[in-house]
Amino acid sequence: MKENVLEIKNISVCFDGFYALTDVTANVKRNSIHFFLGPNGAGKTTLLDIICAKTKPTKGNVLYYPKEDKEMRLTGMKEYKIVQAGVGRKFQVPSVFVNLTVEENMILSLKGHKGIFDSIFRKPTKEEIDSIHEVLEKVGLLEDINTRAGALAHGKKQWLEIAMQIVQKLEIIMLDEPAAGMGKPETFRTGEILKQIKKDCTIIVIEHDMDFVKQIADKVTVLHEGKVLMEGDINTVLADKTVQSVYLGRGGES
Amino acid sequence: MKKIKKQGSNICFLIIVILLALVPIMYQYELIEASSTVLFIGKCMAFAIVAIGLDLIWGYTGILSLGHGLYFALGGYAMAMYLKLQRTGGGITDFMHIGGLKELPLVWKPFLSLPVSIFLILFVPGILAGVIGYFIFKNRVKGVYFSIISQALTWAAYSIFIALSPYTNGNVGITDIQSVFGSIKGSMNFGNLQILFYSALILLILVYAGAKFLTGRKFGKLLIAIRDGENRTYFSGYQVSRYKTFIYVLSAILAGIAGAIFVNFNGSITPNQMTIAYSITMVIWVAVGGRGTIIGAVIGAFLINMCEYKLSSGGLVEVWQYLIGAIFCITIIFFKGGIIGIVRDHLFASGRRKKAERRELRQNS
Repeated sequence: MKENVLEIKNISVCFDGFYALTDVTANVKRNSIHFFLGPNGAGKTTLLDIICAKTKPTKGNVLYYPKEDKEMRLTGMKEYKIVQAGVGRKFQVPSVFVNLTVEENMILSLKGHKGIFDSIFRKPTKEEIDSIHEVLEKVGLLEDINTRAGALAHGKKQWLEIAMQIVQKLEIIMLDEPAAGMGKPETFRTGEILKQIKKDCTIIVIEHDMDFVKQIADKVTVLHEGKVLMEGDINTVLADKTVQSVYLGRGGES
Repeated sequence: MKKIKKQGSNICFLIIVILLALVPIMYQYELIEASSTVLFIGKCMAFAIVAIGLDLIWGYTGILSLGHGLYFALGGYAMAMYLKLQRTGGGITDFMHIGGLKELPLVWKPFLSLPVSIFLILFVPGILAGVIGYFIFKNRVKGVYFSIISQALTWAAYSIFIALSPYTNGNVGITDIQSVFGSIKGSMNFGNLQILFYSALILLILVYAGAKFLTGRKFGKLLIAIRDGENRTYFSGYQVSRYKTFIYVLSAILAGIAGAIFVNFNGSITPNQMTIAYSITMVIWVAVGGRGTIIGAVIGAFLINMCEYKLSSGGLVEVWQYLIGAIFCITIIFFKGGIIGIVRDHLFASGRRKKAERRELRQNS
């Protein structure tokens, strides 16, 4: 089994002459928490869009090495197929199904059985329901199981969306600002949840909160104006002078 | 109380079914005087079926089709062609004769047999919707663009049906036909009317039960998911376009069935049923009844049509069009949930308030 679960190779994206990403290369190790950092407009979200096929790259490849399957080229695959292959994503704006209950949201997210026939005739098994309960317990949403998702507080919606990724038994979970709009204790708790689940999957995160990054990051890639500025563990990156000047210095967080 | 809330729509439907079942009996005992009223209520059952189909695609899946009249009329024409050939004994019709045709055209031949006709009633709307839906949804056309396309297609079909006058009798449509069970006019044919009426009622019950079943399963939740967050649904691993095509085909087939029932009660079919105005009227039924609830579509279809029947037979013929327009606007602006929405919000409001109070108590202690 390869050590890398995802290899991003020479990705460039051009929107009407503007290069959102230029020749980005990065490797993501299995069972790690990998952060993409960078100021606004650095191309972090675009990169996730490319991995999950929401945006097509102008150039380059994304290769994915599943545990029990041969390598796959994600660029050019349909988004739902990528999800079925085990790469899922949480969006920046919490996007849960507001008119369904927490449990229904989770049932729709279960791994496999995405066809029409199964949707009509198949009922979730006891194991699946148990796994839903287990995940909801982990993120602290068990008591809201019958609440309409739209009625949840913002932080809980974020957790629900994370839970929806977990229950899908993905190999790579991509989280776009999972801690946005959360308070310190909630953010910390999110970090602990991610640490727990990383033994089963790989997590790619975009986040601005430096305490959160320090809490859980295994590896950090800093993007700036669509290019990779540097890569390494969090302390090396934070100590770097260029990184400080383009990004961290401005916020004064370090 | 909780049970009533949960089963409310089914209880409501049961009441409607019982009332409908009483209609022929009431006519027999002359509580309903005109046979035309019975026929009209029969047509309303057909309208309820097409409304259920429309609700599945609009209320649940969020795809506003302004062209379901097309599928309704296709089902209607298929039925009418069979019935017409029953009248002529398989020979060519007057309008074909006038149109210069010497023998029965090929497209009419399948309608000599009842089983084939029934198959075509389902198949023609289904396959057309399948082809249209496949291309539209695969290319991710949505929102008002879909609505406009559905309108344009309906308009095109309308023009074709008028232009092909030797085959379809153009503007006049196919008239002078009896029901599948024979003539339903006059007191000596009351038995036939009864059979037809109860058959339609059974079909309505089956369609309602089927729709309830579908929406109760994961499939139904998924339709709502597509409505509320199409992207999220794709990124949960579902091939949304396939689901959309499926539900579009299903609702087209329901419209076809409804059209076929309609013809039996109406005794004729005209391109009028294929106009855009007619299609939009169907949308109004669903909106006023309450979209996103199967029972709402049924109630809306019955209520609006009954009102129209009562009012437009009096001096309010011209006012009615304005009235229905006004009702539609008010519903869309102020009561998004329609009649069902109003009832539900008022029944549920007290319960929800209690729940919120309890939660507060818990947080304080």
